[in-house]
Amino acid sequence: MYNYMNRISVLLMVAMFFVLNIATIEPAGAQNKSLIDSATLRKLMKSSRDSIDIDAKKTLQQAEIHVNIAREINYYFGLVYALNTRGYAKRRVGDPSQAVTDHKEAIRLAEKYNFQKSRAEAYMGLAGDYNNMGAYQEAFLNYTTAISVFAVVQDSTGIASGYMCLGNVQLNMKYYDDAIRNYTKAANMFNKIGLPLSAAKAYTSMAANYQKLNNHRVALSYLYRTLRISDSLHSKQELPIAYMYMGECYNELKMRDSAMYCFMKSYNGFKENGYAFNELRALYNIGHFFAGLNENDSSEKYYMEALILADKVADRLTKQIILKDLSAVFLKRGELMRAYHFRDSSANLQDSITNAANLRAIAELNTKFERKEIENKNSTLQKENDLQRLRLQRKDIFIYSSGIIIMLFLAFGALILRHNKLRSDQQRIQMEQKQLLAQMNPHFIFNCLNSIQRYIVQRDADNANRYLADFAMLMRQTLDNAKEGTISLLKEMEYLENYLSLESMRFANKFTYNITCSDDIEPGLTQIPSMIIQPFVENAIIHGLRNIEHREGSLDIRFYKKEDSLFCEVDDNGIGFNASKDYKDKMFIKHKSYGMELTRSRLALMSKMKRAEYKISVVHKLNGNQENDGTKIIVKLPLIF
Amino acid sequence: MINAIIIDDEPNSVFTLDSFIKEHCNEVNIVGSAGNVKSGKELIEDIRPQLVFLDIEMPFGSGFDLLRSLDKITFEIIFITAYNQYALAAFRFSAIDYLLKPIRIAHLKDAVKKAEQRIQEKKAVFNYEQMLHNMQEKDPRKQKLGVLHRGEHIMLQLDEIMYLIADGKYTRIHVKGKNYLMLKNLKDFEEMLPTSIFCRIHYGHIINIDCVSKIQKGRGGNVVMRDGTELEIAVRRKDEFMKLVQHEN
Repeated sequence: MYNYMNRISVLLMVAMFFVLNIATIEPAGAQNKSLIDSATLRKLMKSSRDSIDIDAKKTLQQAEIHVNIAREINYYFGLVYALNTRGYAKRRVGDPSQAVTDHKEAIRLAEKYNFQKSRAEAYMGLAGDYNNMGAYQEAFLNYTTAISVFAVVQDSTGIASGYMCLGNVQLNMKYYDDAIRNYTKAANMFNKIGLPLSAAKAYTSMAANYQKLNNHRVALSYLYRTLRISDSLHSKQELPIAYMYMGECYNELKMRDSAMYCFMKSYNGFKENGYAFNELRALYNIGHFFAGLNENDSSEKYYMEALILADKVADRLTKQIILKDLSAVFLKRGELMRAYHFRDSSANLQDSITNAANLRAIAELNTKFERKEIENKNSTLQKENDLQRLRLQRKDIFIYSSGIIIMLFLAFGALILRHNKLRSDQQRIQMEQKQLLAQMNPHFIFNCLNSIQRYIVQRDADNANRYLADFAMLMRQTLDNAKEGTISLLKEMEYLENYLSLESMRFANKFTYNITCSDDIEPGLTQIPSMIIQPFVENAIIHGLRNIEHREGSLDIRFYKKEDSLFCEVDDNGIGFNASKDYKDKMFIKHKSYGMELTRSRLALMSKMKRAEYKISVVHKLNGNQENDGTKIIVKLPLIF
Repeated sequence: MINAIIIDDEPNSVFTLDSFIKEHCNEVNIVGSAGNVKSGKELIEDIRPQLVFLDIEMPFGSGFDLLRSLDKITFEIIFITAYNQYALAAFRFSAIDYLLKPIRIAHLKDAVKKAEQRIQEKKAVFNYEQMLHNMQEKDPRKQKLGVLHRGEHIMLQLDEIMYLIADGKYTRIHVKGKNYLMLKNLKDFEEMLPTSIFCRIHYGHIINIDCVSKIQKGRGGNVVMRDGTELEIAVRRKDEFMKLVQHEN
């Protein structure tokens, strides 16, 4: 009986809901028959917002119209949405102070009608506006509010974006460690949710951070990650900004050509999508670049253009830097009055941006936020559980659907004889896995741990820590590189450097080593197959250098370019091939050099698949008396950028 | 005091082991160290140590090569290796003590204590030659499995072993007319014994297929061993067993 009653009441409620709904929608529709309905508007607004990165000006115009329509048909959710979009667009075209008004209005409405997610978005927008204007205190406060609102509605994408923006503010405030922490959080969350492009954005920001810390090579490595993700998704969205940072890094590293190439690529990219704020940065970079080359006229031209744009977008921070740099340019030209004038304005501006009170307030806010974050943790955890469940469900669907796809594919493959290619792909993957295992030579791993034990026994905490960290870094690099088919030459060189420093420590500096790259190669921009060189280096140590007596070993690794191919030489002065073979033949346990074998067959397979030449040659060096004098391995690879 | 030497090419390892022994093994006196097979051999011939800590991986050959180059092994050995599956299998098979790098102090103390006991009791030095023989012997039937039985080190030629029966956590090895109770479980033996002649036909026993005299059909069936013992074949393992028997014939 009770159950029955219950059911009736539910039915009644459903009926009432429908009646009410019709009641609210009908008059709106009746009032503005000529106008579009809320669902259509919603669709329009969404596509308009999605195209903000492509054409901000157009989005702004559309948003103006959408705001008016939403008001007229009393579609408040849409109104908030459109206001938010309009705010973003205004900021994008360089009008952050106007954007503030829109976002504040959006917050007010969202609170009134209890649209939590829109409210969070509006806070994000507002914070972004403040950040652009250099009002970091307000920006920080609004981002933290946004994050906590996102946490309430369990929107992990929102939370991740929030952390990312928080990182941006901290980056501007020079709280680099905090910024890195937040970026990492954001990147991890994005990867978890499956938004690689957003993760790429986070990597770009990390790069900006490392760049500020003068760690340009690390910055470059993060930027390459962004490029790679963009490439694999065929997205241009992140490219201009990544190129901009790359240009800056190369400029700092005095690699002028690469820098100019990147700057121009980024400037053109920004111009295309009309984002004034970044166009400013690109202009500034080019000015700065010419200043570095002492081309003062060109430099002044670009700086002046940048200055005008900086005023337009109200970017005080960049303006201050431009003023300072311009002053330096004038100083170089001997125009002392102008130099003084610009220097003075720059100093005044800086004072107003970062004063001590500002900093203290941020620090206080930081602690406050941390406390809030703990309170939010529970809800975040809950949300992560839900996510996990969803992901599992998605995985099920994925497994079933991929099963069907594979079956179809196999049937087709038998018909059109495609399985040949499939087989070589599998072979490649298998080989790469085996190569990983060969590179993580267990013997090497345990010997490294053994070496660390020595420092522990010796109570030499410094060296133990150093060795341990180096070892951890090498393992990490190995795992990271194994995921990629190709890596940059720069990364490979870093990897070899790290590996060799560990090995030479282990053998008590029995040999010295040297890794060089000729000037006509840009190591950051050149790609080589991952895990190719290391087995040769390991071989040189184990069979050549480890066995020498009464003299010092040396190992030279050289990368150079010849006839459009990339060459790598691994050159040792060890006991040489013949001597090594002699004693190996006599050995009780025969050594199997898996690494070398695998590398050879992997290169052979790559030659077949890529139709490019990968070749290994071995030179048995002889000295004046025709005696063995070490071994030189030459690996020939095609030049890939 | 026991005079001992360390043969290892990595200075770090020598340092670590030397420090550990000084601190934890008062009965051992390290009197020298060598960094490769050649100088190791010279050192052994000069010093005539009672105990050698011997690394497997070295320049100019391995620790085994060093042992083979000697006329007679007159000392106890504690083998050391970072990672060499081949060597580890050989040690286990011949029940020989070894240490893994990085070294655990408890293991070191234990190995040293055992070696000391053997030296003091003036027992015949462990059958290292036997281990080297095993490593070279191609015919598995002529290999010898080293086992510890009531503290005694015995070598059992594989073609003498008829079957092994699980006895709780332990294992009883049956050879012609005798059996030995071992402090290892059946799984340990399954891993060591060559699968070309030994087959685990049941959860509870492993048999030498050369010693089967009759196969009785049934659901899984039974085997009758040479000494008349009947052993059950598990249904799940029958295919594997039959394949092996047919392959032999």
